[in-house]
Amino acid sequence: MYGDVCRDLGVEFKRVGQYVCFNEAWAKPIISAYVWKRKHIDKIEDSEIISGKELHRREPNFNGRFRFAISNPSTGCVCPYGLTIAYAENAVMNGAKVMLNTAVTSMQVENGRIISVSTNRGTVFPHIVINAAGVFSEEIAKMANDRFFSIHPRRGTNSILDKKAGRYMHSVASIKELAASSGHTKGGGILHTVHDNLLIGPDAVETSEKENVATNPESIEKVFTRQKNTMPVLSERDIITYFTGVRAPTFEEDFIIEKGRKCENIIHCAGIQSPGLTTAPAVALDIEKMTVEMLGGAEKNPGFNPIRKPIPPLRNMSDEERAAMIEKNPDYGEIICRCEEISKGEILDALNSPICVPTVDGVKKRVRPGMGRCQGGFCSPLVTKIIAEYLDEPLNKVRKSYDGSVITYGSAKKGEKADE
Amino acid sequence: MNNYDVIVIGGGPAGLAAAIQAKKDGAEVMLIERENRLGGILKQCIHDGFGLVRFEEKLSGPEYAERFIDEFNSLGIKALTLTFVTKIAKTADGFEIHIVNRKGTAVYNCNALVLATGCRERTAKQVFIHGTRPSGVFTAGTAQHFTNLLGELPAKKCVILGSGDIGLIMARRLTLEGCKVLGVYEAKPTPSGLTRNIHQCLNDYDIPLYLSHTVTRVFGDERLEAVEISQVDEKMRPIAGTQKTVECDALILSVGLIPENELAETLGVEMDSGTKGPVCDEKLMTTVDGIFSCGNALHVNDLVDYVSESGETAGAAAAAYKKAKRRTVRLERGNGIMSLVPQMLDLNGTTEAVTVYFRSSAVVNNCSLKITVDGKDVFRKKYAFLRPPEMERLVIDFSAFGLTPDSKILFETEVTEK
Ligand SMILES: Cc1cc2nc3c(=O)[nH]c(=O)nc-3n(C[C@H](O)[C@H](O)[C@H](O)COP(=O)(O)OP(=O)(O)OC[C@H]3O[C@@H](n4cnc5c(N)ncnc54)[C@H](O)[C@@H]3O)c2cc1C
Ligand SMILES: Cc1cc2nc3c(=O)[nH]c(=O)nc-3n(C[C@H](O)[C@H](O)[C@H](O)COP(=O)(O)OP(=O)(O)OC[C@H]3O[C@@H](n4cnc5c(N)ncnc54)[C@H](O)[C@@H]3O)c2cc1C
Repeated sequence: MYGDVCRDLGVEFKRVGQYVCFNEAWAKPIISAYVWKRKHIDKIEDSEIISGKELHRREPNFNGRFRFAISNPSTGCVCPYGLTIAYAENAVMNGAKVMLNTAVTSMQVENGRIISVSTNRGTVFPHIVINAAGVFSEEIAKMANDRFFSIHPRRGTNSILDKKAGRYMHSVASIKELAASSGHTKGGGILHTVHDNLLIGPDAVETSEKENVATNPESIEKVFTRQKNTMPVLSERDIITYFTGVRAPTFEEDFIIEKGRKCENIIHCAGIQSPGLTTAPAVALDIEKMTVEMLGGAEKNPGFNPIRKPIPPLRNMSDEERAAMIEKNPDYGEIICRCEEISKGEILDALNSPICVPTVDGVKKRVRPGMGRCQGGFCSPLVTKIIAEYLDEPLNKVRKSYDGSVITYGSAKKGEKADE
Repeated sequence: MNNYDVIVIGGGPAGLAAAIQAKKDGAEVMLIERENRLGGILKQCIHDGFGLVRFEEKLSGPEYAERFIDEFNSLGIKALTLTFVTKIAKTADGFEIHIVNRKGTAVYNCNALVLATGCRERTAKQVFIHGTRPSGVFTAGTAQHFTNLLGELPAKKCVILGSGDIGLIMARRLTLEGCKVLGVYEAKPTPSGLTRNIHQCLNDYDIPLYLSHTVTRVFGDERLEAVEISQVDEKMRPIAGTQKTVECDALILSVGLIPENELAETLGVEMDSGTKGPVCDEKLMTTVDGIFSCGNALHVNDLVDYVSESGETAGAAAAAYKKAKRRTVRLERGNGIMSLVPQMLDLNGTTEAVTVYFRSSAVVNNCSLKITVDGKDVFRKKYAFLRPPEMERLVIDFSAFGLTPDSKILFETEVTEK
C-alpha cells in the first residue's frame, strides 16, 4: 500500500529492510515458529531467519556476536513530515481547505449532536467531526461530550546523525532482548533514513505533559548506550540534531477508530501511537467508510486527482537533468544551503506550494535547507531573506515557526552596512 | 576553455592568495566561489585588526580582502562566483570539477586542485544543549551575518556561550548596537579567544566573563526566554546543584570552528584528528597527489595573515605541481601538542625552510618546543608561554636532521622551569 501511496504523492519511500537481532541462540526455535507464522499466515512472505554470520556479512559494522536475526526485506521508511505535507497538499489540490494556526477551543453540542465548533479564528458548522487530534484527542472527545478513553502521553527522543555516519549501515535494526522485556515500544533502534542520515532512537518515557517536547541528556545517553550494542562504531560525536515527540497511547494501548458513543456526528481516530504512521493509509480507509455511512451515502468525486508532483530534488539529478531544469528556471542553479545542496528555486517552490508556510521551519520541512551538518548556520540568514522578499515584508516579520518566534528585531541602529 | 593548470575552490583570503600566487608563477588559474562576491567570511568581519603581521596596519576584514581582490582582478584571473562545486572526480591526468550555477552545469579540468573552502561553526546540539526549540539560538557567525551584512539586530538581551574570537567580537558588536550582553560563559578554565580580544571586546565594555560555566538548557516555546547555566568540573561536566536560570532573548554560540572538508573526503584525502583538516606535506599537498589545502580548511587559524601565507604556499606548489613520487615521513604530535601543520615532509622536496604551525594543548609558562628524531634532540625553542588559542609559527630547517622515511620525528612541549 505504501509503495502506491508514495508514488502517487511523490514522496520518497525506500524499502531498506529490517533486522531484529538476537543474542540468545536458544530462542531460535521459538522465533523460527513466529517467522513461519508471519510468512504463511500473515503472508509477509519475504520474512526469514538469517544467521549471525549472514547478518554480519550484510551489515559489517554490526556487533559480530549476534546469534541470529529476523530479516524483513520489504520493511520501508519514509520521511514522516514529508508524507504528511504531501497528503495535506493533495487534499488541498482536490478542494479541501486547511486552516493552520487554528485551535479548536470548544463545541456546541445539542441532543448528542455537534452543532458548531469554536476556534481561535472563528466558528465552523460541520456535518461531521473527525477527531484525529493526537495527544489532545481526549480533550476533543470531551468537548463533544463523548469521552470514553484517556490518553497517557509517552515521550520519545530521536537523534539524527551526519550523513557520513549514514555509511555505517543501510537498514532498520533493533535488538530484541528476551530477558528484560521493555514493554511498550521496540525500545528504539537504528535507521538509515530516506535522506541517508542515521536516526537513533526513540526511547519511551511516560510524561504528564502532553506538549513536553524538550530534550534532555539522559534520553540520548540511554539510547546511545543501548544502540552501541548493535553497532559499536556509533558515536555521539556524529549527532547533528535531536528532538522529542510525544506519542498518544490510550490506557489500553489500543487504537480507537470508531464512531462516537454518545455523540452522533463524531468519528474518533485516537490513541494512535506507533506504528501510527505506518497504519495511517489503512486507518484512513476505515474512517472513509464510517464517514460515508454517517453522511448516509456520498458520491465519489469524479475529478479527484491522487497525483501530487513533488518539488524536484535537484541534488539527486544528473548534470544533464539539472542543466535542463536550470535553463527553465535559473534559480535552480543558485545553491543556498551548502550542506544539503538546496537551490533558491526549490525554496521558492516550497513557498509557492499549495499550502504556503512562509517560515524558516516550514521551508526546512519541505525542501531541507538547514537540515544538514551546519544546521542552518550558513543558510538561515539567506532563507530568511528569501522569505522576506517573497512576502514583501521586512526581515523582522519572518518567523522561525510559531507567531512569537521572531528571528530579528529590526534594523541594527548603527548598522555600518557592508556594501552589497 | 575548460582546462586549467590550477583550479582553486573557495574565494576567501586563502583561495585568493593561492590563485594570485599560482598566476604569478605562470599557471592558468580559475577560482570557484559559491557566494556572489569574493572575500569569504571576511565580508562580514567589519571590525579592525586584520593584517597587522602582513601589512603592519589595522585593517577591517573587507579592507583586507579588498587588497587581494584588487590584485586578483588586476592579474586578470578568472573567477566563477555564485557557483557551487557539486562533485570532483579524479581522472588519468588530473581532476574533473563539476559545478552548478545560474547558467546551468559544467565540467572543468585541472592538473592541480587547491581546496580553500574555509570552516563552519559548531552548533548548539554539537555541544549538547538541551530543552525546547525556540528561535533566538544563533551561532556567532550567523548573528554576525544578520548584524553586519543584513543590518538586522538578532538580539536585545543575550548570553554568549564560548569565548572564541567570533563570540568576543560579537559581544562588542552587539553592545555597540544597543543590545545588552549579560555575559560570556566559557566551559574551559581559560578563555579560547585571543587575549587582545578579551581586553578590547569584554573588559572595555564591562561585559563579564564566567570561566568554567556552560549553558545546559534553553527555555521558550516560541522565542528564547531563558537559559540554564551550570558550573562545570575539570572534565567540563556540569556540576549538579549549581544551575541558575538567566533570562535572555538570544543565545549566541562561539564554541569552535570545524574545517570544511567534505569535498576532500570524497576524494579519499586523509584527515588529521588534531587539526580536523587534511594531512599535508610541507608544500601543503594532501595525501592525494595534486590536491592542496590551505586556510581554515587546512586548520583553524586565528590570524588571517597566516591564512594568506598558507594560500601562497599552496598556490605556488600547485602551479609547480608535476607528477612525481614522494618520499614521505610523518611529523608526530607528542606531549602537549594539540595540532601540527604540516603533518609530513616529502624528502624528495626541499626541506631547508619549512613553515610549521602548532598549537599547545594547555596553557604553559616557561616552556620549550622540542623536536626529537629517533629519540635524539635535534631542535629546541624557548617560549615564555604557550596558549591553545594562539597558534605558533616557526620556520625549521629539516635538512640538517638526516631524515629518512623511517625516522620517527616527534614534536613535544617541555616545561623548562616551574
Ligand atoms: C518518537 C516517536 C517515534 C515514532 N516512530 C514511529 C514509527 O517509526 N513508525 C510509525 O508508524 N509511527 C511512529 N510514531 C507514531 C506516529 O508518529 C504517530 O502515531 C502519528 O504521528 C499519529 O498521527 P495522528 O495524526 O494521529 O496525530 P498527530 O500527528 O499527533 O496529529 C494531531 C494533530 O492535531 C492537532 N491538534 C491537537 N489538538 C487540536 C485542537 N484542539 N485544535 C486543532 N488542532 C489540534 C495537533 O496540532 C496535531 O497537528 C512515532 C511517534 C513518536 C512520538
Ligand atoms: C563566522 C566566522 C567569523 C570569523 N570572524 C573572524 C574575525 O572576526 N577575525 C579573524 O581574524 N578571523 C575570523 N574568522 C576566521 C576567518 O575565517 C579566517 O581568518 C579567514 O577568513 C579564513 O579564510 P579562508 O579563505 O580559509 O576561509 P573563508 O573566508 O571561510 O572562505 C572560504 C570560501 O570558500 C567558499 N566555498 C566553500 N565551499 C565551497 C564549494 N563547495 N564551492 C564553492 N565555494 C565554496 C565559501 O563560500 C567561502 O567564501 C571567522 C570565521 C568564521 C567562520
